[in-house]
Amino acid sequence: MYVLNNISIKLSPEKVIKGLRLNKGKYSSSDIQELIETAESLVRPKACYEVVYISERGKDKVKIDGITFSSRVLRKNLDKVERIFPYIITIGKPLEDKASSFNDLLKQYYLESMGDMALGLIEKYLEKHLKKHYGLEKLSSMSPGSLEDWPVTEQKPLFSLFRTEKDPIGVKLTEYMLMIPRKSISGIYFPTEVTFFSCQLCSRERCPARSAPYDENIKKKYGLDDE
Amino acid sequence: MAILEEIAIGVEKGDSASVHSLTEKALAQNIPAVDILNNGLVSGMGVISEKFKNNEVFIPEVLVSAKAMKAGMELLKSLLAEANVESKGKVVIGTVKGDLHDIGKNIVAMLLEGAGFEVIDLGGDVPKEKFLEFAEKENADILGMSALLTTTMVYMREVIEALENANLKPKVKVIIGGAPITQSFADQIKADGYAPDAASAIDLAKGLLEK
Repeated sequence: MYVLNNISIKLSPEKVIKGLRLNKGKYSSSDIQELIETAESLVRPKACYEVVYISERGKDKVKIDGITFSSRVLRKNLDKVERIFPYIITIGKPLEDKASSFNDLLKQYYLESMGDMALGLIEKYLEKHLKKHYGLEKLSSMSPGSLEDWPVTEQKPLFSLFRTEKDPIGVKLTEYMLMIPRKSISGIYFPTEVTFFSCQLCSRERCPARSAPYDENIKKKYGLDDE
Repeated sequence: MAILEEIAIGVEKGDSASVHSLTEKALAQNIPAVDILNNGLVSGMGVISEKFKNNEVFIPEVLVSAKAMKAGMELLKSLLAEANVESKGKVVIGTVKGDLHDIGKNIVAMLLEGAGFEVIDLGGDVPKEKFLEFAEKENADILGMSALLTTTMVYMREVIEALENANLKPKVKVIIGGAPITQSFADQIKADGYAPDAASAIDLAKGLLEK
């Protein structure tokens, strides 16, 4: 297992203003900087990954390092792929503990949102690291639970790919498939020619985490149009 | 009354300081607390809720307005209690067992209070026994449940069955929400309503108690 510890997180004031929809007239630059510094001081960024290989392909299933994963979308995405990178990232517990301690829901919301932004930065950091170290041009990722096709229960086999640690980088998976610390993400990075986003296959409206528009044609391409 | 409109506008704009001072002013003018509540504070939150439903504003704006509303409410609370002003209904709310996601549930709780409901928030990881205990003890009108995982949402069925076995349903109405929840799931488990977002939860709660 490879662990990345020295990840520096710098939240962009412009992205914080936009993401939190801060009224620039009400908040000074120093107010915003203070918010950012509070969040950054509470973030404990960590990432870990494995380098594993596809051992078998079946109908809507794929065996990775001998462990079976059931997902039509994953199977299709890994069709021409041999080597993949399961990963877990986290910002640790201090931020969520601090957010929970606030009576002020607005403060809680701001801190939690900045925690999500920090998690996004760790994801980008890991992606950049993998591209550099493994000579890869393009990577896409999928996470169990993002699509009905690949349910959150598939986190269990995903975690079992991390053979060297019980709770990799301190991230525990509960019996209910909740990761603790809460602000953690597990998934698989894989090489692609065209970037894939699970959001393209999800028709949910008003999702704050949407990273690509829903596309019915792409859904048909994956054979999900009967769902 | 102009001052109540100003209070409503202050809530809509999320101006806590202005709402606080206008509420003080309104009380000094001997306007009844219940009128300031309904025609000032709740009215302003109603406007923001509509804007949220129409995608004109988002969660941060709703929270800023709710905070402004709270600034006015803190001056009215004891007066409303003295005048025995009844709430629109009592809601027991929580995130189900195994699940710790709470911010969506917290937002719903805040908006329900903003709409004049009394809310008992049980927090996260709530087992059915605790939902039952508080639904009964508090004589709840509504039980609200939240879940963010497909693995935890199934527990909602157990809670509803427990309410039925304790003869608390149909008196206690059950509303559910959370990212993986759908109307179809709500129908399957015999919930009384499903809210896809916080603003809808308020309308749903009002609608269920009007029946």
